[in-house]
Amino acid sequence: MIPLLIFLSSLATSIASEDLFRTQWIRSLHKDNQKNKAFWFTGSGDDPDLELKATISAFNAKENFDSNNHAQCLYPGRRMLIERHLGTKLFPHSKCPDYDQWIHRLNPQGVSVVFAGNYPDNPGSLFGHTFLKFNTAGAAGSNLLDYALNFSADVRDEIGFLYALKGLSGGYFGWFSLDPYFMKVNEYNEGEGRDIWEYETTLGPEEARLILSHVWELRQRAQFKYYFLSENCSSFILNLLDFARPEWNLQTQMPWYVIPLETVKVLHHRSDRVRKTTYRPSVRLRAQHAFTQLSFQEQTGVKRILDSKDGLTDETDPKTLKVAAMQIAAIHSRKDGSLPQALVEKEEDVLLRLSELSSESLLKNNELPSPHDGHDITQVSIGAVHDERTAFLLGYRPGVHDLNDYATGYLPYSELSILDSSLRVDHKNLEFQKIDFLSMTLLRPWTVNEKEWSWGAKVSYQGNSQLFAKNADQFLGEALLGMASVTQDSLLLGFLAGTYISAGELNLDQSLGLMAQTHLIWNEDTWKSVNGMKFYQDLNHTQTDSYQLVPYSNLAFHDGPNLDYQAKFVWPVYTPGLHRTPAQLTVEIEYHF
Amino acid sequence: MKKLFVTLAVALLSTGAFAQDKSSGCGAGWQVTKSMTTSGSSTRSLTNATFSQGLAMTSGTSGCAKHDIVMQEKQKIHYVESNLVPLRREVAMGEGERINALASIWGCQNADSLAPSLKRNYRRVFYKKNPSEVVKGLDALLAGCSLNV
Repeated sequence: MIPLLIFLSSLATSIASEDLFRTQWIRSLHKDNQKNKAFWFTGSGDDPDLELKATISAFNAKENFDSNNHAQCLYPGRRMLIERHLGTKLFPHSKCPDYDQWIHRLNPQGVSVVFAGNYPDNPGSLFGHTFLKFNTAGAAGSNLLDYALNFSADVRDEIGFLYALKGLSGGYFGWFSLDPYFMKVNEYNEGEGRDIWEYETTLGPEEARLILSHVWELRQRAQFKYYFLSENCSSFILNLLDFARPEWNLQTQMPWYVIPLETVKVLHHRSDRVRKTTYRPSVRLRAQHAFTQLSFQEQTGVKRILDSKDGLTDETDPKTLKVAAMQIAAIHSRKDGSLPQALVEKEEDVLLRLSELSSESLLKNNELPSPHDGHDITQVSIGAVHDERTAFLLGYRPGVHDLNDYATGYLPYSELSILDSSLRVDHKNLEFQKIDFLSMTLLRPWTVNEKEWSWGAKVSYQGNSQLFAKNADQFLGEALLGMASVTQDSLLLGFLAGTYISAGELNLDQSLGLMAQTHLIWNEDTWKSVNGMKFYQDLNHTQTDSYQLVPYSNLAFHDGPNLDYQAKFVWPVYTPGLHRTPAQLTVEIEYHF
Repeated sequence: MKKLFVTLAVALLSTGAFAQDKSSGCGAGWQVTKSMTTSGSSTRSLTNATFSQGLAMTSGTSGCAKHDIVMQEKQKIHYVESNLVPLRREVAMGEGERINALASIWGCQNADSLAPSLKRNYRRVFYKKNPSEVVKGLDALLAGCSLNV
């Protein structure tokens, strides 16, 4: 440490600059997570002072000067840092044909963090995805020609369990890709029906250039392990932003896992970090929205075009044709880009006819609530439960969102709850009420235009489980598939059917069977009512009752996104007439942070 | 310990979810890029490989991400090929951001007047045309643009 300071004090232009350089230099070395020893001239990132000396000495090499293989061209980020803070006299500046051309073409003016919303077809993306966009001096009125920098795991062929396990435990390497932004917009907006939010940061041209030049040197020699939860696309973005603007210290504001949604929040919550937010609704959402703006007659026209078997109908209303074209685009996004030939031809004909008619602009989309407006993900709760006896409840859930939470910013009627746990405390006992290891639900409206399944899955441990009145600890697994419908007043009705398995200490606790679940969800800004009924039918006849009904009702009042007051009522019912379990009433206060 | 526990639990429970992942990007931090997206692989040959050359040797990522900044001389075909479907929709509708970007690539100063002119010429330039035919059509239609630059 001290030698570096002494060394620098003779070079740095000011103390402030020296501190800044020191932080940036250390961060540029990625001591903790970079795996390739060749990335450091000294073979490790442990001694930044030695590494600095070695770097400067390599930069002075005569060999390869002015060619792509010179150390300066392999480490343009380090070079930029040194030249900026320590002056340009330490080594002659080498030309780097490839790098120079690359950075000249990119000519970055600023940096945006881009958030792609959840992808309903993949529960893994309930958190969204983030990448960086380098704002080039591109086309007027469009940023599609900007460049997107993506950090992701290098996965080729692995599937299933091994893939998940490897990804979570660092079995993959991360890699960077740089693409024109329009490719990302097409991929998410058009291809996957995901909404995009752009957060333009306050980073300027020089900081943008510093990040890119650093990424160049990472691409040359560095190697990073990719952990799905902790060292992922989003943590790397924070890493790069912290490198360019050390005082933000974004990474230190994260727990050990980093999820994309949170990175957006940590940026957005400070006005000195984000200059502007831009929203790009997906083609699916635009089509949906445009369709609802039409009169009944026009809607019928759209359906006629979509349903017609032999070519185009005689439709001549531009608005109807326009919305039909958008509906076809929305179908594109569900079919992974491959459309049946007949639909492709229909699209061509609709567009041709549209091009020959003059048409006015469609109404603009209402903006969706942004991801940064959603509740935070970690939840603690305190409350009381009353059934056979009364006890206090203490709850903790590391992530992320359940059906009762404030819905804004999350996929509507979705749930991804990890390790949702609660303790039951009374004057003699302290016991687990439950641990929901994983609970996922996605309820999607099944409509004429969008035929989408709803589903749910849950694996949990229930203390004193009331399933078939066992009153014993049980593991319970459930899997359900079904349909849902949403009315205009955001009332959701759903019906799902599936199977369950339960296991406990005693043979009698084992049960395997069929189950069904209904949902009735009423969602308003300040409150939410989630009701339903679960039905279990035992198939292996180990139970005294062959079936059980569990009606429940949950009412939550939201005081802002992060604070909820909740009351829940559950009343298990067995073979008709036998109510062996008392009803259970729970009141809770939940807080998210 | 906590990490290990979560790792195992999540891995066990979400196998199916991961396996179905077709999208590109890391999503939850879980969702992972499939190395070759449809548009990526078809346009790979059109883009510079310089960015990843050194890397491929050392970090085992060869085969991925050869696409980088688009070569200047391939910019038009790359743009049209990647955007053909949404672009022709915007052209037929007579408005859209992809028309602005197109204007910039073809060196047209006035994107606003471009939209109506493209719309009028939709049949000639876009109708049942492949990307290279579209580029040719645009070159002919917008020849005046590059002269103004």
